Amino acid sequence: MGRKVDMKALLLDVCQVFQDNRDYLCKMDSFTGDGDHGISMDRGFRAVQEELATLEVSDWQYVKRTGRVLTSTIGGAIGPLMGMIFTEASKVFEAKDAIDTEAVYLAADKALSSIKRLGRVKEGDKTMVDALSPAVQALKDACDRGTEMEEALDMAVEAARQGLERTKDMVAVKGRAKFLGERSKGYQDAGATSMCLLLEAIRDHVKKQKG
Amino acid sequence: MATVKKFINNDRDIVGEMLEGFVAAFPNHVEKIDDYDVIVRKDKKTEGVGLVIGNGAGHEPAVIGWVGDGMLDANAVGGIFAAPGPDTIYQAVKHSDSGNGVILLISNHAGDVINSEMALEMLIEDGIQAEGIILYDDIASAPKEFSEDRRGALGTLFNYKITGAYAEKESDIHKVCEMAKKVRNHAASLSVALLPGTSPVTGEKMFELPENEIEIGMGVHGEAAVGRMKLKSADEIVEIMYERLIQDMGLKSGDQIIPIVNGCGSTTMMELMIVYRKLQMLIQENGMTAHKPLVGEFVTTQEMAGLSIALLKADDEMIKLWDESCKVPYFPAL
Repeated sequence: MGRKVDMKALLLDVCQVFQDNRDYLCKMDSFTGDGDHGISMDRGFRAVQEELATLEVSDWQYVKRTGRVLTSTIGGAIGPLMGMIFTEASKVFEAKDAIDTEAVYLAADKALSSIKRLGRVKEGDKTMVDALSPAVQALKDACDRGTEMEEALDMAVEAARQGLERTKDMVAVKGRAKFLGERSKGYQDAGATSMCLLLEAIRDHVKKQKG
Repeated sequence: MATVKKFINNDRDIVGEMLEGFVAAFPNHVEKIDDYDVIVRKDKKTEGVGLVIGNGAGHEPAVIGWVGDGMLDANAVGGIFAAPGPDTIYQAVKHSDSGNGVILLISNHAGDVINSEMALEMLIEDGIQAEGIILYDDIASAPKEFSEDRRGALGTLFNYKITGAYAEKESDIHKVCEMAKKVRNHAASLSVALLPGTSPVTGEKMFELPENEIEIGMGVHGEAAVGRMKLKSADEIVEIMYERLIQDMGLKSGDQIIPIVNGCGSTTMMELMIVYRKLQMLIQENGMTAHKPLVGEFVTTQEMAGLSIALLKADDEMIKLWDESCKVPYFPAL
């Protein structure tokens, strides 16, 4: 079960996605934040791209390094939280030769717990957690049913998309948007948007590598 | 994205070039440490406790302008309006340890808290004595019973000055922590916005306000806030803000107040003085005294038009420390 995933290639694809979506993410952030989310993500993933370009290490170490670079270059609240996803995932991948549905689930689940702890957020607070949490649940279901990784990632992306849609009805209680109170309703959360983009990029790459 | 009509080169170089210019302009006060966006005082402390804060750029002179003898030992600088990462904060704290430990002040914003807490974990793991103190003062951002949820704003300046002066000579970190908490617990601030500033990276206005409306409680990043109203006279606006502040702080006749009137970027000194005139009148009418105020630009948000008022209910010890001279680039001689 499972297969080897070329993490460097996957991460470089993710970097490209965040560069391509710089303006879109800024727009998503402009309604309730200060409109620079896309710039922050672009800055972080550009730094990752530069770091990985010359790096030759084992697969899990690329993931670990990505977490470290994002944490130190994005800044703000989103930096360490986005970094945490990769840092936690690298711990799961370290012990594994092949990646399967269970590994993806464990990585996402650990990331979710750390984000909730560090950011002091829970589901319903209109944050990236509202996209990641349903994705983790979808991965768990896929794991329980023995679903292949590619299909499991499809399910995770779909669940995250639905979660993102639900953030439109939520009132922000974290970050700068919280000071808008009820006025934050009607807009999807920028961090949750990034979370969806990340999951989609991972899914697309994993499918592409399978060919 | 809109065109950015500002004196900048490349948007990725804004913070780095600003820091280069700052260090070049104040070579007797500050230095930058290699490889990190950290401004440190030129003459390192040999006694006392280190005092450090991290913050996003774009609010100058906050906070780089208050690094130097008698105030802060270091300031870790992040991106525009984005808290610095844990590595940068770690370096700022590590550099500021003279052997008696370092207090990391944390202005209460999600990014500052998360990155500072990560930095503190790393510091403690490495055997550096570091204590974090979260600062909050903006009364519009949460009700009084949840004051620890309030965000850090103009009122944090009281702490940089008073705790800074105290930490210069006091080598017991616990005593300095107590001073920081005391100052925090006696400070409050409130802001009002007239026109938005423009983000230097996106070129977009940071919020929208109808032409003839003002917004009370606006955050320092131009976060839209709680209360909007029609534009009023300066005196009426000051009265509204003053009433909210003294009620929240429970001020009464006989209290000694240190007031700060702060322009957010494009509010003129003319307006700030008109505002201060009224503020001092109100303080005196209520039988309180206004001690050595600050009136000027301290915490800005680019060219935002607006102002904030911070009040400190000061005891004699705080007054004495406020009055002590310091050698930093942007704290006026009182």
